[in-house]
Amino acid sequence: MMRWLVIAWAVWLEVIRRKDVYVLLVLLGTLLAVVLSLNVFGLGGTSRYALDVGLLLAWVFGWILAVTVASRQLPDEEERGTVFTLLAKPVTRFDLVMGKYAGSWSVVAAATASFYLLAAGVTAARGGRVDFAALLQAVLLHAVALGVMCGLGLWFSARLHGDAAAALAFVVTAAAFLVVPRAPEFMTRQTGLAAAGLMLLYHLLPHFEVFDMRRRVVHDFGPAAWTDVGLIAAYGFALCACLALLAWTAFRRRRFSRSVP
Amino acid sequence: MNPILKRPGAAALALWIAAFSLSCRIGGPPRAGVAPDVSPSVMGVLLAGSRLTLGDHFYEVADQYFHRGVPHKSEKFFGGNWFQRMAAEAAPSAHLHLQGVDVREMMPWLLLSMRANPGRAESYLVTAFWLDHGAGRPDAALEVLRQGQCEVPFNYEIQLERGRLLLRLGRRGPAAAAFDAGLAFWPGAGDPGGIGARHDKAALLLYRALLHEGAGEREEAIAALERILALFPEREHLRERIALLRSGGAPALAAPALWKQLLAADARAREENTCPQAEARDHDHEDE
Repeated sequence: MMRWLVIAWAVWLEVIRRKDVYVLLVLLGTLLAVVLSLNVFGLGGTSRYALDVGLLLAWVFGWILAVTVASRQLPDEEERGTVFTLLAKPVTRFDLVMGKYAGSWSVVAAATASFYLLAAGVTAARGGRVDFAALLQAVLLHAVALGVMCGLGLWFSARLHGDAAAALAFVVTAAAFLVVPRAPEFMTRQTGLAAAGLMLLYHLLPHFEVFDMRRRVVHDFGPAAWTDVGLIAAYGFALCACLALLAWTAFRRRRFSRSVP
Repeated sequence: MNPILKRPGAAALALWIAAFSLSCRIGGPPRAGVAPDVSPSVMGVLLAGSRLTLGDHFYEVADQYFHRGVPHKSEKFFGGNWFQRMAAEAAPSAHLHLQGVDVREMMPWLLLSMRANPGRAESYLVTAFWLDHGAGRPDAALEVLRQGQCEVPFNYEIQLERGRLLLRLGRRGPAAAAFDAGLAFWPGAGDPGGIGARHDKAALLLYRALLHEGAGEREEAIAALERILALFPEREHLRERIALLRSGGAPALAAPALWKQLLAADARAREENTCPQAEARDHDHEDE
């Protein structure tokens, strides 16, 4: 476990050094400022739309971060040649995969939590009401969803080049976001192979819609039942465990190129 | 060597910018009867035709905000499985509407809808109605309708809404002018035989008749009421009022009192029927 933590801390340091999170945080702040600069007929007290836009951007930025950070971890180690040094130490491939997974998941979740805090803070400063219990649930479930995205990125990168893994992870997660929740609706207009394909996608891809509590937070419905939040989180953790296992299975058979410097 | 061949990237970029500018120039929607806009907004140039879709999307979002985030219902191949139940728990769909000043929350989306698709009359009508009745800002509502009049000229619905608003504010002269304009523009692009358009024309005529009556112009009031009867012969109560006006008698309910009642009833009906049963079924509400 200590070895996982050391590797995870290295991931944190790398992400902090790259400054991706700061850039996204500044971008989010700027976009929120632009949104809030809208003069809505001189009416005061309109803040829900800013929270809505802020949470949407938190999902988009979290998604980008999760896929890019997780997909580059293993290929970068190989490209730099540091994977040989790492594996020469008493670090197993399982430790490396789990450490990278823990590091990328936790750093992305922390960055996303800061996006939520910024969006909620701006809304509260504007006089809007934010239910912090619902917001906490939203952040927790979003963090679990980010774990699934990181797991996909890591799994693909265990066998593919970093860019290819990221591209594939973006495609799969985008399909899971956009197609899976609407598959039952699309299937009413499809027959035969197309309908079967949609049904396959529906059951094969992760259901990110169950982690999305934005509507509950933005429209002030209050927190969900904790048992349901627990069930959704358990589904997410099961997916994460499955993806970690797949990533390790792919990585343990990986043959590294010796031509790296 | 040819300088273009030396820098193919720069040449490709220049060509792309030229193509993009051209597509923006020709991509904008033509508007009948209006001179081309010589000073289009930056948003209009950048987004060209796609801004119409964006405008429709913002209008849809405003509608969802009115329904506390509940999107329109769609037919599903299957439902009620674990994922759908959990998604419903994460994003509830209770049948609730924004009330009172809370309607301000949908105003940013309506504003964006008007900016993205200035040719959509419905956006101006809905925005003006809720600015007046929800946010208590008739001045802003009038300004929105003025913008609507500029962007969608010859639209009778905007004139009808303006007339109602002006009448509610007690500005009889401008209200009468708005109703007259509405009658002149009717039916516009709509179907003159459609029940909605006919009801709107009857409303325009009724308000105009009452304003004539209030001004002591009995003959004009009678003519307007008769035009309503031509549209809807079943409205027998109008015959009684025409007879009373012809005989020189005073109706039990004077015109100003009647139009106040009409305006209040009209606003109430529109507030209550914003999500009538048919539309309520059209939303993914979990409890009615």
